[in-house]
Amino acid sequence: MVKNSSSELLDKYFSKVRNTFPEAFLTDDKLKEIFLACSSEEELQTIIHYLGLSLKSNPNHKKTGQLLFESVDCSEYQLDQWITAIHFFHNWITSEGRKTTFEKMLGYIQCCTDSPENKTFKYALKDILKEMIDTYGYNG
Amino acid sequence: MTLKNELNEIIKNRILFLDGAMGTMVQKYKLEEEDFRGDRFPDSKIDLKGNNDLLSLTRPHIIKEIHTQYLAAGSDIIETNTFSATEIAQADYELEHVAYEINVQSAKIAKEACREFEENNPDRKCFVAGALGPTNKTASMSPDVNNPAFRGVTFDELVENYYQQSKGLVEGGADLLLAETSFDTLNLKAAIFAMRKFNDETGKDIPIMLSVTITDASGRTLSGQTVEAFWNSVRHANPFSVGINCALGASDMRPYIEELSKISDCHISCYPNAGLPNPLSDTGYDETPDQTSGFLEEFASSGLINIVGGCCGTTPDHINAIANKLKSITPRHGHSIKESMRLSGLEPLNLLSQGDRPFIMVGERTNVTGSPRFARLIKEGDFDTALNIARQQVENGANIIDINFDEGLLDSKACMIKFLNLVASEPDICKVPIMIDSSKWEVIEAGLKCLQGKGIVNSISLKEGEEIFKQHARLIKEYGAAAVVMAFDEKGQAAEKDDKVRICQRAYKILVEEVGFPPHDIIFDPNVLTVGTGIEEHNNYAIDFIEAVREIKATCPGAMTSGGISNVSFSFRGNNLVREAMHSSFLYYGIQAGLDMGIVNAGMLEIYEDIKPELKVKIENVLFNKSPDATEELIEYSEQFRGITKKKREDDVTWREGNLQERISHSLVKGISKFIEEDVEEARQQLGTPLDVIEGPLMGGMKVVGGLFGEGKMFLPQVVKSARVMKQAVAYLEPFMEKNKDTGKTDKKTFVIATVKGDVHDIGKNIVGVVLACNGYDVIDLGVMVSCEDIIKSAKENNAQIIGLSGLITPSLDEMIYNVQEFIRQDLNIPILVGGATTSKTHTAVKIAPHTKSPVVQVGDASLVVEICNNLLSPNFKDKYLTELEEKQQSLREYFERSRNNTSAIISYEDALNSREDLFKNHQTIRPDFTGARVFDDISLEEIAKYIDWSPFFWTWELKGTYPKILSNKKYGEEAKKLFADAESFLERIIKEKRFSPKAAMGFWKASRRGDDVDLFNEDGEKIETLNFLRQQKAKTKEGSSYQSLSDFIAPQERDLEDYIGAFVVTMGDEVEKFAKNFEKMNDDYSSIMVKAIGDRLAEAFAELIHKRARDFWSISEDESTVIDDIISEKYQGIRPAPGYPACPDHTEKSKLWELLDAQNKTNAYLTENYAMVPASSVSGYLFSHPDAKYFNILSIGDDQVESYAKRKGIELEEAKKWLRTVHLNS
Repeated sequence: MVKNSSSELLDKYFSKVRNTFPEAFLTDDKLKEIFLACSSEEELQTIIHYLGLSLKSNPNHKKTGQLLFESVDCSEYQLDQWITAIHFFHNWITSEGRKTTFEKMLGYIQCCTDSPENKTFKYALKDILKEMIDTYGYNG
Repeated sequence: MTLKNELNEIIKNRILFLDGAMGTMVQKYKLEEEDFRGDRFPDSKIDLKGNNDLLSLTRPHIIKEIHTQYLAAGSDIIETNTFSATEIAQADYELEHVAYEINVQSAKIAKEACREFEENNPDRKCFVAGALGPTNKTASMSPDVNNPAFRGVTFDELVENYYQQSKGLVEGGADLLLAETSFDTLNLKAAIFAMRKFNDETGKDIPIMLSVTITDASGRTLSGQTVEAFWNSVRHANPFSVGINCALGASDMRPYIEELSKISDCHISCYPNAGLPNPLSDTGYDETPDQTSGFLEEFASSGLINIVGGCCGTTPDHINAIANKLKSITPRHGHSIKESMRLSGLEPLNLLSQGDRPFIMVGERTNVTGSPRFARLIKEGDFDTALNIARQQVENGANIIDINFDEGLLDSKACMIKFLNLVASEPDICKVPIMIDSSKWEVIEAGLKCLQGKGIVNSISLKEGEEIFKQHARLIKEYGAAAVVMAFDEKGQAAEKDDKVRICQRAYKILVEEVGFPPHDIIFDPNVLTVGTGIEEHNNYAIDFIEAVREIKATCPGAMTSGGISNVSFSFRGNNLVREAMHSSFLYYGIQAGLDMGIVNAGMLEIYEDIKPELKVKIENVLFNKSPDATEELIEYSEQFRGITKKKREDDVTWREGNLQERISHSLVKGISKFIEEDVEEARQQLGTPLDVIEGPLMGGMKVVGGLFGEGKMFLPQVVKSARVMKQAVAYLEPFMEKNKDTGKTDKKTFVIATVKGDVHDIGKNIVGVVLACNGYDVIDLGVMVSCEDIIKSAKENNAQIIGLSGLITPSLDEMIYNVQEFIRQDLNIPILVGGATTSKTHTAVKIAPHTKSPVVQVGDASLVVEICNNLLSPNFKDKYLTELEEKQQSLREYFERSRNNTSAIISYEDALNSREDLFKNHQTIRPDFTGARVFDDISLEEIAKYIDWSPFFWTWELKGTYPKILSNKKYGEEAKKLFADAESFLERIIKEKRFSPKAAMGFWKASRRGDDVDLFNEDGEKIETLNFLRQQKAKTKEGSSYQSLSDFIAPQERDLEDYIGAFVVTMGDEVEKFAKNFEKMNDDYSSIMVKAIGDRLAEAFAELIHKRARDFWSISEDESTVIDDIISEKYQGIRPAPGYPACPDHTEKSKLWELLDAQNKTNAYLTENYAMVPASSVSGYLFSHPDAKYFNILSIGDDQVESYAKRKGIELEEAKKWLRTVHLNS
């Protein structure tokens, strides 16, 4: 799903971000997909921040960039919903004065998608995430 | 003047300036792929863009330009462009062969830049630091979360890489070696080993700089060490400087720089990032030069630093600003630190002088020669349970843990490596230093290569002569460890004091004067030998040891002393009480003589002051050889203690001194049944009627239980035990109630609960019943598979205030809807609770609640049920609660209406089918050893129990975590241990008394795939069944992805391949229910739930065992691990998905398995109308053998597939929709 503001983000920031991540971590195509799935500059900032942290803190796992896409493929949701959910999670955990890793965050969101709450109809990913955080909290 | 001296002279007078980021500067050139390839690598198959180190070969002028900019900005030391110039790191680009050349050329470029700059600026002296990065692999962490013992790189590989890098850098002209951005101290220790080896072998004295990365506000490295633990681990490098760089901006780095500055006796460096990462800013970071230099100016003014620069995001402007602000500030003054043994795990352990610290206990239970249990676990390959022993020692107070695998039948070296790697992944164990214990040098050396912390070698000695002793000592020093030196020499073990002292003094002299071993890293063990053996010359052994310690401490300054304490009491084996007291006495006097540490069982030490005076006297008579009869007297006296262990906490009955209410509350809270009848009788006599007792002290006690549970201070197993005591008390009172005819007077709240028709799962339901009963509710439990009519009848007859409906399988959701509709029709208008694994707030609001005007509430967790029920019935809170419930449910219904069309992006079923990956191109199908169905009813419970996965057992009891870690969990650990002990005891009884009758049916059939259907054939080639599978349709991010179906794992009809599919049904039999019922009759819900939970675990374990057998029949298990944990973690070929679960969500397919296996006749297990398996402790599934077979989730499917499925299966479309509801959403 291409959004106008995403295209603008792509023009504005792609080359800068490209220099931050090796190709082995994220290919040009995958990186562009991320840009195009972001609905705001804040979302882009959040996802790039977490990808950057993941790259730095996982020297053994050069391919953690692909983890995001694997999580998307194993869920009912598309990349744009995942990025919105990650941004929501980031804002929530920051407001709590806490931090978490990208991998733990993806794992938690993945669990939310499999919740029985999501079996009657499909919530927006951000909404089911909020519901789960409100109900169960987060220990990561 | 040597370069080192020159540097030392400069650094005395002013702060030295490093350069800033290389990567940030390279980015500014906006280089493209061709820049990285240059003329040299035009044909690389891999994209080289991003390999900045390669630019030293392909665009050297850019690198030199960057260096020059930094020199002009004020840098005294510039770093070579070699952060990733090791073969390990260059392997990502398949450029291992140019790693050495990059180092040489990078150093040359930097040196040339310095030379040119110095020519133009004769007042400046510039240095080149050869940069050694951390590589992209870690030696103390596993890249595979499923295999924590695995390592992506070894210490030896790192040493080889770093040695070559050091050599290349120095050849190119580097003046210093800077190992930086260390996130794993073991990697850095390998770099130190290599750099020092290089200096040693070349006779050079290249100064070594070290820099660690603290990853976040936790103040730890990525591999988990604190700053001080890190410094203790690397101090043996004797570096020119140590510092912190990367990950953090200056302000976040300050507390760690301050700490490092305080504890280190070398120069301190600091080169932070330019604040926090912000990939959208020009430099990728958010701080300006003025901001960064402002923070660092404060560091310098506070006297914290000697060397300063910048890391990621800093530029020449940052360095210029830093140099301008800091150039006239006096550098940090060096200081010495108190010499002492400084060890580390993830945490530091500093052994300051005696008196300033407690006695150091070395845990001895992870030693195969001293602990039969540890030895057995290691021999059985059960390393996970063996880890628990290490954990228990730390929990019991061990400051260090001793690890030993010296046993003839073990591969000691392999065991040491595996166990240390596993320990490294357990922070609650590896927080303490490790003592590597072996008599084999190769085992010791292998162990040293696994420790990121500073550990201890146990042991070396002069037994094999001075040369070997010195050689081993030198290596221990290079690995950065301390060493236990045994009082052995070429003549053997020293038994008498003088020999002990003589040997230790000789060893000390060699170590300190010839090897340069730090005296504080020497621990003498003057041999603790056994007393009370009946041999006269042994009688003085304890005195010899204690006096030897005293003299060694006096004549070997700095050295520590230790001993294997339990050796002293070997003669009293089997009498633990005496042994523990003996150890305490021996330690008491040993410590007074100067003993610093002892190898002991930290959990088994009597407190010296608590030893019975008479026993103490007799023990000390033996230890100090006070009379020839001392041993005989102690043996005679100690017979009375044989087999006695220390008094257990449960035996403490001081609480019995409280008043009646306190005693009853204590019994209930602690789940103690021993005194409850006595107390209840006392209460009955005081209060007059049984009802007064129940509603008075008993309910008072249960209120305490309910309150503690609500506050999270009691856990479910404890509450269930409380309920057991409550029921026992009520049962005691019941005969009196009948006499008084005062039953029914109470205005008790009545709750009718049942598992709905077609479902048999009831553990959760039983727990809810118990929790409510504990809180004053009269719970009427109707059991499982209860018809709607029976529920209505019971609710009306008992005047129930609330009904609870429970169910686990998906079809039970429809049954609940039906129940609610019938309640209304039959005028039963009371609140309804629904619960069970598949229920949800959303389903309740959208699908159940609209059918009734009565409130319907979903209960997600037993801990919530009391509050919900109280709210529903409270005159004060009911209205508010119901209003909020209705608002919430209405909002969910509105959301549902808005989301009706929010289906997943899916591709057509046809496209999904066409995407199928051909898994049979190069695959040979395998025929199993038999076809058709077989029964397995001779497998013992003992054999099955080996396959138990305990984690879900704890979840049943709402203790959240995984086994075995939950046993040491801060919140749940204590209760989890008790629960597990009870479970083990029940399991032992179930096995011993053969309580359950496990039966299994398993079979294999020829199979071929047609579309997404799989046809099964008998040996005559006749088709006997068709299994219908589903296929993923939810759109994937990668073009060309395959959309999976279980049918993919069976060879297609059109291929001439003979393939097979298997199936199984296992059950623990209806004995589980019967055995549990026995306890229910005795009002013992705890034991009843325990039996069912164990029954479920055994059924799952049996499925795992049967799957293992299936792989044996298929001959695909030869190469798989035989370790049970690996099997439970599914580290094998093949899968066993169950109908009704994510890869094949249609429960109705189970009936085909039952037909194929004749399962009802063969196992007595059957299916309900909703396809729940009876008995509940049963498991069924398909068996696939294909090596690519993996579990997956089918996710959303489209109308086109549902239609196809209905047609293929020969059922109505509506019927198909009903059974596929969980994957065909919003329908």
